[in-house]
Amino acid sequence: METGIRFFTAKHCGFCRAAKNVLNGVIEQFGSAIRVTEIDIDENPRAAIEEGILALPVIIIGTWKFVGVPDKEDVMTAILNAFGARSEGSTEGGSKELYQEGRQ
Amino acid sequence: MDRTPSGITNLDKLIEGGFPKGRTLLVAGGAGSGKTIFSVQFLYSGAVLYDEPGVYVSFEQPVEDVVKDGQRFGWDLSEIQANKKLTLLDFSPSKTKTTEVVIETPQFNLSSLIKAIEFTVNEIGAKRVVLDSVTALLLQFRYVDVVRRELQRIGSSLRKLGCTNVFTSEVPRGSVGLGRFGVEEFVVDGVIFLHVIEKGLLRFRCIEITKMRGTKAELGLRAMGITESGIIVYPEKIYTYDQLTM
Repeated sequence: METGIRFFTAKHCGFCRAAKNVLNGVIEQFGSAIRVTEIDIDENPRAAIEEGILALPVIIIGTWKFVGVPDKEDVMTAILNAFGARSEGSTEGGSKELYQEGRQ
Repeated sequence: MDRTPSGITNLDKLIEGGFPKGRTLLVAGGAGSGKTIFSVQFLYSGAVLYDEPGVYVSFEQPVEDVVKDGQRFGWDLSEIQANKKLTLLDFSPSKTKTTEVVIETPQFNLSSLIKAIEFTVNEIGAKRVVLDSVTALLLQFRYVDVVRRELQRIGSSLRKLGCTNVFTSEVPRGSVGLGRFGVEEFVVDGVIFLHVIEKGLLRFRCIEITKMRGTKAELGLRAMGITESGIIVYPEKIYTYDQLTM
């Protein structure tokens, strides 16, 4: 199971700091189960080219892509959907089910 | 004012020898009017005839298709890429086809695109940049106002780099503006319109320079052709509105 999140950012980007706060607030509920790879576009512009990343901030979680500063509920839904992970306080239940509830 | 030869056969006769160097031009037109051919010809001729490397940024077609289409006109884009005279950047939707759900909020910027362009321009010493098309770029986002603001940032970034730039824009049939979103013309220094005008069963290709800062441009509709060697302008063949519509 893939447990990685890719976070495209840059130091000068104010929105990126806000997005990072949202992301950190969600993933801390999963302990060390989820790894975040932070890609600084200023240091690694080739990553933007190779992945076709136009905007910042961008967070990629499985097949979900967040452009801008996301809501933490949406990030949580994407993590559960992508990784089938559960936070310490969450109840049993399929991630697919949670995804469908969130989108319908 | 320094000029950048357009590479479009005979066009420079109408614009004092070329595009104003370091400026951004919009090439607008409907589907099939020749916008991509125009922009690739601008880059290919820059690389081959004037030793000016270029960067092509695609927001619509996969770049493999652009390379393939260039072969129709005898333009070996792969070769000039290998010689570091051209870099094709693929930001087409096909690049991110593995993404199934996209959630967008208005708190974003296009710094990633700007950085990618700046990096590539510096890497090959590019003097020419094409964005094809800004319409397709705008269509990739929900918050058009943000992208419009960012287009101005892209323009000023390219200006600082000293590049001469062509942005293309698709004009829907029957539209009076120069782009689908009606904003594209405000972020550029010059506008060239590629028309395909139908009269009865005939179709006429024309080119029209509607704005060119710092240039005494020849106004009016000029005949234009797309030949096996690219776009050719016929400056002496001027159409009047009546000729084409009555």
